[in-house]
Formats: sequence, structure tokens, C-alpha cells
Amino acid sequence: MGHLTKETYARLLESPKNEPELYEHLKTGCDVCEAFLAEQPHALLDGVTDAALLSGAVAKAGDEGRAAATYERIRPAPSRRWVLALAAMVLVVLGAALLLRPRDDTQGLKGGPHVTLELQALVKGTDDSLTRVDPGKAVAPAGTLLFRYHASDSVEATLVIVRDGKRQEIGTVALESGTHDLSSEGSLLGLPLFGEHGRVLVRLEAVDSAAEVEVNVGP
Amino acid sequence: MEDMQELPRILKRAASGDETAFRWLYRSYRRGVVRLCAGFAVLDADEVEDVVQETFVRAFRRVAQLKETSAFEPWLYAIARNRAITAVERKANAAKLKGELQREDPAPFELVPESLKIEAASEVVREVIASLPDGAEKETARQFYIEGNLTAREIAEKEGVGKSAVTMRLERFRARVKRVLLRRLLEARWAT
Repeated sequence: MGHLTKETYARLLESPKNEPELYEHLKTGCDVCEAFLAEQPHALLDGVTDAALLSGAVAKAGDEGRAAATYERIRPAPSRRWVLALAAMVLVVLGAALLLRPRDDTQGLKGGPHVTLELQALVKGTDDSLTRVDPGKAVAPAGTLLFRYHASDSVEATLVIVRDGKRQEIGTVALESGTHDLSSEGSLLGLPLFGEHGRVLVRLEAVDSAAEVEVNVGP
Repeated sequence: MEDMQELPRILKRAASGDETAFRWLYRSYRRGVVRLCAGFAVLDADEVEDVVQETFVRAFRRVAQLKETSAFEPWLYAIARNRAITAVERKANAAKLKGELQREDPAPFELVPESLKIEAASEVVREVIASLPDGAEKETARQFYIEGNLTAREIAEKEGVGKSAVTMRLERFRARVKRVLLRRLLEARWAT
């Protein structure tokens, strides 16, 4: 009976019946075989070993900021199919809500005389339902917040999110004249509600005007 | 950790490109990936973050191919280990090599035997620690895997030993766990 080698290890993995003595030998600790195993990649065995070792892993205090920053870099864009389906649904729901109702220019409107902006939000739930966000009403921390704007003229605006009084500039979006879903480069812009809590203020800031919508995220 | 009973539904949603599902997976498994990388004492915090980023990008790209829910976590960690080792090798060879060292990402696992599923396998870790004689390896493994507050770098600083010494202790301990789990994998194959 020997120790694990490339050959015996391969035979063992094929079937332990190929190496019955070695199979028995692995019941007990062996520095030679363990040193060999440490050097031999085996995706399933390595993954399961790390999953077992890390099952009690706890987040390091103060990791939240770094975690959020990394996620913003890797966040996948919504799939094209999903975006198209969503865009269609948003169009139906908000088209009716925004275009058919009487316009009240004093609501959700800020800024100077040149361009007027309006911003509205709705929640796409985890069951794909769409719910308009009414002022002051709490929304559950699930699903995605989507936006629709009305601009009296084409203008560039900065999308800003304010949480606990802290501003976070998300980026610049080109707004077109009329009523549209808020999107960038063909993809709808949405704010995932998972992990959000409390009051979240979303603002569109153009040079001489701004619009905002406040959402209260809570259970 | 989030409610893992949600995982099958979340993976299904992630496979169809639902961004909230990606966020859920990231929040649930980030700490494990960070911890895995923190075992490589040579990697600093920024390099760990690069590995975390690369790991999730690669996993998200292929999550639709995953067939078994219980395979997600080990598969993610297998990707992370490959990325971390590549980062370590790159760093070690930076002065010598211009080219990029690369390791293939593992394909999503199709089947994980019952005896290797997390709940069963994590008990092995405590058993192996308990079986070790008192000494540096046992103490390092306990600090890193059970207490889980310190990185390998921090353990090295605290104990006044080299970073590579702590990494080696952790790798030796990991190999002991791997041997026990290999035996379980073989048991499952022996029975078939």
C-alpha cells in the first residue's frame, strides 16, 4: 500500500474499488497524501471543501461600503428580453396614468421657466406586478423601483439618489421631450429595493430645473 | 446569511437576468468569497476586492447553466479559489512574466452527493479541528475558520510570524478537511 500519486488518485476517483487499500488508508490522517491533495485541483472537491470551511463566515465590520462599491461595478444589466417586457408593461401602466390624467403643473415640479420636469416612480414586484408609488405610502424592500419622467424639452439631467441626507450621483441621462421611461443606452434604469430602508429620494437635476420623488422603504 | 430556502427561486430568477436576484446572491455569498481570499495572506485588501469582483462576474455570466441549487455555493468558491490562486501567481511572477496567467473556470457542477452538502460537510471542519493536537495549526485554523474575525495577514501580524507561515497552516488544515471529504466522495461512488 502506498500513498496518493497522480496515477493512483486518478484510478481512485474513477472507482474506489480500483484502489481498495488506498481507499482504506484515506480513513486516517496522512501528511504525504494530504500534501498531495493540497496540490491537486479538483473543482467539486475544492468547492465543497471551501463551502464547508466557510460556512460560518461572517461579514467584517465596515465592509458595507466596499461591498456596495464593488457591486455597482459588477451589477449586470437587465437582459434584453426582460427589459423589453418590462418596457411594454411600464408603457401600459404609466401611459394611462400619466397621459390620460389632467396635468397638475404644481406637483413634482421644480426649477426655472425653461424646462419643466416631472418624475414618477412605480415598483416592479418580484412577481412582476407593477404598482404606482403614492406619496407617503411605504413600499416593501423587494422588487425594483422604476421611473417615468415628463420633460417639456430635451435636456441632460443628473440622476441623484439621496439616502440619510447623503447624495449619490448615479450618472447623467439624456431626457427627451415628452413622457418617457427613464432609461440609459436602451436599458431601463431601476433601483433594486432589496437592502434599502427608510426614505430614499430620487432626483433628476437639469441645469435650470429638477424633479424628485421620495419613496419610503419599509416592511 | 439570507434565507437559503429562497435559493432555488433566486437562482431561477438570476438565470433569467433579474438584477435583484444577482444582488441577493452577491449579498449572501460575498462574505464567504471575501473570507476565502483572506486566507491568502499575500493578497492585500484591494487585491481581495478584485478577486471578489472577478468571481461574481464570472459566476453571474454562467449561472443559467447551473442545474442543481446545492451546487451553487461550492461552484462559486471553486471559481473564487481559481481567481485567488491566479492573483497570487500573478503577483509572485509579476517581475518575471508579462503574460497573463489564467486558470479555467469550472463548469457548473451537476451533482453534489448528500454527504458533501454544506450541512454535512461543515461538521467535518469542527471534527478535524477537535482531532488536532494543540499547537499553531489548530490555533490558526480555529481563529480563521471558527472565530472568523481575522484575515491571514492579521493573524500573522498578531502572532509575529510570516504571512506565508499562516497561509501554509491554513492550507495544511484545508488539506486535512479535503482528505475527509474525498473519502466521503469516494464512499458515495463505492456505493454505486
